[in-house]
Amino acid sequence: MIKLNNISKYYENKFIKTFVLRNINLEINEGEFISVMGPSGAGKSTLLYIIGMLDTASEGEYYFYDEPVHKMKEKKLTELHKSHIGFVFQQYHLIDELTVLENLETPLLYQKIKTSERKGMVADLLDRFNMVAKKDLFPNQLSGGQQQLVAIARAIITKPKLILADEPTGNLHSGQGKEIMELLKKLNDEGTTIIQVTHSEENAKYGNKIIKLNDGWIEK
Amino acid sequence: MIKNYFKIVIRNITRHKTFTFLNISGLAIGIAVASLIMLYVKFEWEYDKSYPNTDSIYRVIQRQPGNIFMGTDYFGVTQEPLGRTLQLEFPEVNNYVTMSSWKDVVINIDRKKNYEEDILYATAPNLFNMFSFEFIQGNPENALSQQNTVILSENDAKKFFGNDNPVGKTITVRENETWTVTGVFKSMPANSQFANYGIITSFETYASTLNNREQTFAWGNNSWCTYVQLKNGINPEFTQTKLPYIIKKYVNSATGSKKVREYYLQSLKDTHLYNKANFALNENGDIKIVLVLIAMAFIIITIASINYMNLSTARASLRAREVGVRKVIGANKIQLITQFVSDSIVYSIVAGIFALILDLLFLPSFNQLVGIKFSSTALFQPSFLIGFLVITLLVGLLSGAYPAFVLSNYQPAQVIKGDNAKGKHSALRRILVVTQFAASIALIACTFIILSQMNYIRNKDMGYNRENIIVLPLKDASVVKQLELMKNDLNRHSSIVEVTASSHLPININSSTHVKISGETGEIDVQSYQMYGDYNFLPTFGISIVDGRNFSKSVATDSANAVLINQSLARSLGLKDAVGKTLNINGDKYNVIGIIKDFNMHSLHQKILPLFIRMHEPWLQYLSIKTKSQDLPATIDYIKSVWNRYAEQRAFDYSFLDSDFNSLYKREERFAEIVSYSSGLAIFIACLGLLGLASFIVEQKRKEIGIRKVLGASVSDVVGTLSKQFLKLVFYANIIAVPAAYYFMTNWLQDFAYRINISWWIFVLSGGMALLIALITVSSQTIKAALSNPVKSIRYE
Repeated sequence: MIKLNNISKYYENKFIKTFVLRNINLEINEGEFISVMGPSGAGKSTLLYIIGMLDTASEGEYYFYDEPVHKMKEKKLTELHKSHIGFVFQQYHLIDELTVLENLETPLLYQKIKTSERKGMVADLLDRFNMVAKKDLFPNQLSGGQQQLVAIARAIITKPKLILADEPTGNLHSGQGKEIMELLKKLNDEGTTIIQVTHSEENAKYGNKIIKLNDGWIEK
Repeated sequence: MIKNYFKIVIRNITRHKTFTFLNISGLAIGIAVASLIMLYVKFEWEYDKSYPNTDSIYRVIQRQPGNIFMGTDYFGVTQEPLGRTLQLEFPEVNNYVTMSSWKDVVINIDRKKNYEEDILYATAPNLFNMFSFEFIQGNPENALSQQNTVILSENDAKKFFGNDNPVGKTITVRENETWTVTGVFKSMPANSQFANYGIITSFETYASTLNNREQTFAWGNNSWCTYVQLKNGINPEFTQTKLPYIIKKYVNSATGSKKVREYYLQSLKDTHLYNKANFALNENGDIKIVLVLIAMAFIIITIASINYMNLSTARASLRAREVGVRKVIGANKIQLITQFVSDSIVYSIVAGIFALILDLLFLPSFNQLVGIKFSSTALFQPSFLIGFLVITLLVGLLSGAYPAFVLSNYQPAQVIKGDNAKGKHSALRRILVVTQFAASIALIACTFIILSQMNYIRNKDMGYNRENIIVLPLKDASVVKQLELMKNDLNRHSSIVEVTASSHLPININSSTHVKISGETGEIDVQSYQMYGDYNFLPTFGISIVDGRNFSKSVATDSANAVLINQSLARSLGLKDAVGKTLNINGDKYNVIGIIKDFNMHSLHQKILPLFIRMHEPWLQYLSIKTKSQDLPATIDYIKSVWNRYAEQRAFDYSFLDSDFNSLYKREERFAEIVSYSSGLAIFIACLGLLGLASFIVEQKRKEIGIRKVLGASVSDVVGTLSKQFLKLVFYANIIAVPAAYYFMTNWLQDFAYRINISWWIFVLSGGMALLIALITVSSQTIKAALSNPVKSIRYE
């Protein structure tokens, strides 16, 4: 599903290259649940963003379902990204001005899905996440755990093949964190590929493979 | 999708009240100003363009090189036979109209009702064909074929006869002519040169009122407006090149004059806004005023749009995360640009609604400003509303495009991590603020310069006195015949100091002729202004005599062949000792009895030119009454009672000479008002933007302010640091504004023969004023921030 060949990421500043990622070689198959671990500044998030096509590598090749992502134009990237990938963030990143329902609806709007179908999908998801009663609330009226639930719901509403989670439980207390991890596990069981960045050994155990990053290198 | 965008905008509008208020009020004022100006420009632009034949109609104007009259040697009037002759000589001339008008004619209906109306007389039916008059009753072909018939506009017919059928009824003109109504035509639109003429009669009817018909209709008499219609596809240049032939064959041979003259064809489309000739049926528009207004609309709209751009990009960092999130969940750039542009369009539409209310509220003041009476229904006509909508959407698009571009360019990987683009785009923002203030300061400086020139005009010694002088137009010959009796009665009142009758008022003498004198080197011929007065003319207006004497009742010949000349005429004639010399004026001999001191007999656009004054009662048109300043109402009542004793049939219209004098500068007053209002609005809107920016930046710098205060900065230190960066911008704006204002104003002042020098203090004043206003605006925010408790703002982070 994902193949990274010699991916590097660096920032150039007056002839000094600051490396964030160095020579990353990685292959991820469909249905895997991968945990990326490592100290702060190791390049975990950057790796996630590159895989999620929100950032581009400075060097190297990236194949997504055998398609060369590193050669794609922005339009194609956006297209691929929005149909295959869902994102979950530590800070939830819901749109403050929109209600729960509208937040869930937005990705579908960008995919130009018909109103009737859209309403159905949103209703299903609200039901599945037990949030029907909260659908008209704004994000700041919800607890952190609830916000993250909405964020996950938003990430999967387009039925992506791949979910990228950047410390999804980082801002939550353990009870809520567990709930979120269970949910991700369930999604993985249903066939969704998941890559998560995490600091917690415990959360890492939900995955079936751990990648350790240090100073931009993959530790073997 | 769009619904989703709108939800966000509406929520943003209600959540960020200051931002919303600043943006919407700025945009609303901008849209209101632009739309009112559009109303005016459309009116002026479409003036006389509503006739189906407009494109093929030309006015014949003539130029008499060197015969400068009221600042130009072009004349809008020609000879009566000209139109007819052009059609006869040139096959491409399809049709012609010769016309002229009487102003303020007394009309009686049923011997009772009294009106004062303007009457147009023209070659019918040519007039109706050429200008496509629509007849409601009667028909264009023979409505005026009989003598003493008249047609009325729908409005005038209703005014005179109510709902009765006017056809067959009569109107009495000047108490002695009775004309029968033979038709009613649809009133012309307000922006037609015929709009004021509700009464039209034929040339034949007009001619029957004349004693000297031959002379009036001769080639020597230039009193008529001539319009010709060319066949389709004819280039007017082609006809124009043949016009010298007409002058040679007809004008010069008939008059025996070798006076150089030129004819030009001026397209009807240009006659209103680009008129350069003296005399026309109506007061003309002025392309300069139109252009100035368009420029002002543009400046104000731009300043308001800049506010939106600046406040939006400043706040962009707050929305950066939203942009990032939207990109993450699948938005592409186009969708984001659409979102942010629809944002600004929603703002502009809300502003548009307020703008429409402002338009309604300020329409009366605007009417006064431009001198046209638009009714409020004009604001609901489809053509206006469409234009209004276009302006509104355009403003939304213009203000939204740049912020949308900035916002949609954010890279999600960066903004989501939290390092948002705080410092970016601030350079451009500064440039935009400088632009706003440069425009505002330049306008303020222009206002000061225009006002000081106007002040100079008002206070300059014109060489005559215009205080406490009441002017009565004598209106017609029957009143003039009673003149002596009236003067006697008036002089009896203790508050009346002097009474004089004259053909012109000293503020504007607009008749001229040639004066000749035989000298040693042959005959000298001088073009000179002329007027008629009486014994009291000089004392009434306080015009002094430098040599010789005034007209005197004790010298019987004074009323026949005495002439007073001004110093300029004496100089032009080359006379050192003019008193006692004999001048030849139009073939008659006149003795110079006195030299009067030069006075400004026109607006200050023109230099003092030669003038002579003679006595001849039939030509007198104005009665000027010098009064004592106290108890004016009683004096006016008395004057009215005297007027009614001798001229009851004519309405008692009086004016004060000083206000008549001011009306000479109507155009300049209008210009001054336009520029001063615009500069006020410009600086106001610019300050709204500055206020928004200041409050935003202060908000962003809360922590910095807190740290500074913890480190020991005083309130004034903080206010100083924060305000300095804004004041610096205003200072740069000054540097741009000064040369711009100087350039435009030097140009404007060129039009005046007598003008002020632009002095440096005007720029210091306008710059200082802008600086002060900006300082007050910014201080309201910075002082608040500086006074806040540092602990709070540091913890806040």
